[in-house]
Amino acid sequence: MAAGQPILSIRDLVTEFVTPDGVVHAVDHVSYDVYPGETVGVVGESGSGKSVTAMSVLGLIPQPPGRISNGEIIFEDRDLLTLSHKQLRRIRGKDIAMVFQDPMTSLNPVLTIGAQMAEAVTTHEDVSDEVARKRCVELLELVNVPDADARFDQYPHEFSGGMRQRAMIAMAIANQPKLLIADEPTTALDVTIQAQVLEVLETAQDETNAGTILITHDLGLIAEMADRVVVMYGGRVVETGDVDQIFHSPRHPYTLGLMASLPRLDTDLERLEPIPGSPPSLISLPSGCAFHPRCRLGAGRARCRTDEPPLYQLGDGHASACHFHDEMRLEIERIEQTTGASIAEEGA
Amino acid sequence: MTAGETATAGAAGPEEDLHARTPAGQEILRVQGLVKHFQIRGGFFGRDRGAVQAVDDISFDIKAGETVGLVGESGCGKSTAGRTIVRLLDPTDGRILFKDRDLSKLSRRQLRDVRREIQIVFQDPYASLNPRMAVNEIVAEPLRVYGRYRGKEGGRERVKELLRLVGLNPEHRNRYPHEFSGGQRQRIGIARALALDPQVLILDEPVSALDVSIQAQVINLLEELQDRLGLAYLFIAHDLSVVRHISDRIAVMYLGKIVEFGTKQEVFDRPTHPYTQALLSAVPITDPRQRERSKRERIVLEGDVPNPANPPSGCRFRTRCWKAEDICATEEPQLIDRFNHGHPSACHFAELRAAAG
Repeated sequence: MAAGQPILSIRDLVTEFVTPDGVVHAVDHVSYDVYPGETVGVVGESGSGKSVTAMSVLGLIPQPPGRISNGEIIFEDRDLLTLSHKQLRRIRGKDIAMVFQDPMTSLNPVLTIGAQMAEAVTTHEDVSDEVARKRCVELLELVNVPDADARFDQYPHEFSGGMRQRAMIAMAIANQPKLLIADEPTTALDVTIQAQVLEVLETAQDETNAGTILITHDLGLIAEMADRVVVMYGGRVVETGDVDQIFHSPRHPYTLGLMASLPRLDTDLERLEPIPGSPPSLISLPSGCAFHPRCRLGAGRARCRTDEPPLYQLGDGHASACHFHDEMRLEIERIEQTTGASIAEEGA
Repeated sequence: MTAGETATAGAAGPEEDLHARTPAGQEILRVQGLVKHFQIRGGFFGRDRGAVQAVDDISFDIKAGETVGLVGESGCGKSTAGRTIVRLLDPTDGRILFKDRDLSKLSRRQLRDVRREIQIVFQDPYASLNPRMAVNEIVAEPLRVYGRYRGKEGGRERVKELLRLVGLNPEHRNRYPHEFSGGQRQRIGIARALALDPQVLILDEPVSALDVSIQAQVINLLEELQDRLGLAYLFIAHDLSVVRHISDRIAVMYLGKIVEFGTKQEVFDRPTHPYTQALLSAVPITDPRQRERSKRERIVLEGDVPNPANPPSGCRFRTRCWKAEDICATEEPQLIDRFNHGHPSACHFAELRAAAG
């Protein structure tokens, strides 16, 4: 999958928000790449910085109170952070498209679905209304909206939640984007409706060969959709690798902690092993490794408190920001024994 | 219902009987033919425009020390069922039996005594705790209402004990809800529910609003409390993995009806109702090596859940079901044990399908 040049390259990005309580370090020196045709799953809990990173790519950080104080976001040889609003507008919705969590708040309630879709087309391309309509109806058919020609003239409230989200995906791919950013695209939907939307999302990816950033808190979605995974904690990348590495040989205790916390659909676990404590405050992150106060592997070792771990490269594209990543095999065995889950199993 | 029946239902049995702990494994709560319809009124004269049939004739039982999971998608009536069982909503029809006492027939005053035994924990710990009350007051309130906040032992010490029980530091009892994280707030809600030493807890999506790592903490807490206190749980949730982990038996709901009911092994490993099969197949498996098989076996349902004010005739699932035939529109399938599993399902064409796993 990962071949040739990345379509997007985020380098050392720092995004902060100034609040009365102090500076919120939402994104703290984050780097990752997205290649054409691949899906990068970005996973983390609330406040991990996964959405703010994507908003920074889209130039949607309100400034002030936000500010991007460091880094580069390279898209097709251009640094998006240096572009004017006007230049960004030409890219956004055309080469870079997005799908958000709640389609009701991202659609205009007083315009028909068709008018909004057609606008997405005509903004970036000089085509007649008829051509735009024809293309939009085809797109609605592609995303399995029944009776697409009639549906084109309906308003968002006449669509069900799942259908609205499918229409959003249709709109996102209307201009053959090179990069698709999907931020919790199915979180608001029921699981049978999620299945419909995921099917459509995969069709859309096949149609466009766009690189995709899939932001979610749902590890099941990551396991099913992602080629590579970026795990975030406290505004930082703590582990990255291909999806099999992340799920079957995690090399960061936070990644393993997430898996040990998760009830499984396909098997009965003896017990869950939660991560103790709560996520950190982004205003005053713990010193050294931000995860150290909750970490069983670190067990209070001084190095975790004093040195912020770099992203250690472990080969084959796998990287972990843990000083003691080489102790993870034993830690996985311990978790397998306490929870009854099999993580490091060989073969399928 | 006559006045005489009401009186006996309320006053039956001595006080000890109602509050005596039911031994583990013995039935403690039975719901029979429970119906909750919401009238729709509209138009100029406020005429009756029909009813939303949120819960339509559901029956099940819960044993002491056991967890029954009530699972389904939004709008299936699972939360309405929970609220009707504790009579936050009045049932349209049916019986709710706590130790043979029918809650559906009791007056507000008579209910008071039974309510001690059946408490509820809500989904959103941000909305269900009064922001102007310190934690101490929130947990003490049920005790005060029942006149049990008395003296050092029954009062302050009891609150501290409850906070310790749910894993909170009693020294934080003078803090306000906003000073706690989501997971800690849910612990406060649980402490409040436990204040009167109930035997049954209705848990309405208690972990849905929480992040994964915190969710696991609360699930473990609920399991520990059940072991220590012998509680019976009705665990209402949409997350099938969570329901599988915590439940002993599971009822699957669709559009106001229970479509399948059985032990978790039966329902998850040998589902026979097409809706259960589709629901289970739709959940992404947290193992990339099972991705291809999971997608291959996935049943993607068409369309959306119909309007509960105007449900389909016969089987309510037939409009989305790939097995539907004429009989499904004319004859409502009964929830019966079709394979002698002790595991009923409400489908004319129920059949076993090898489940993933």
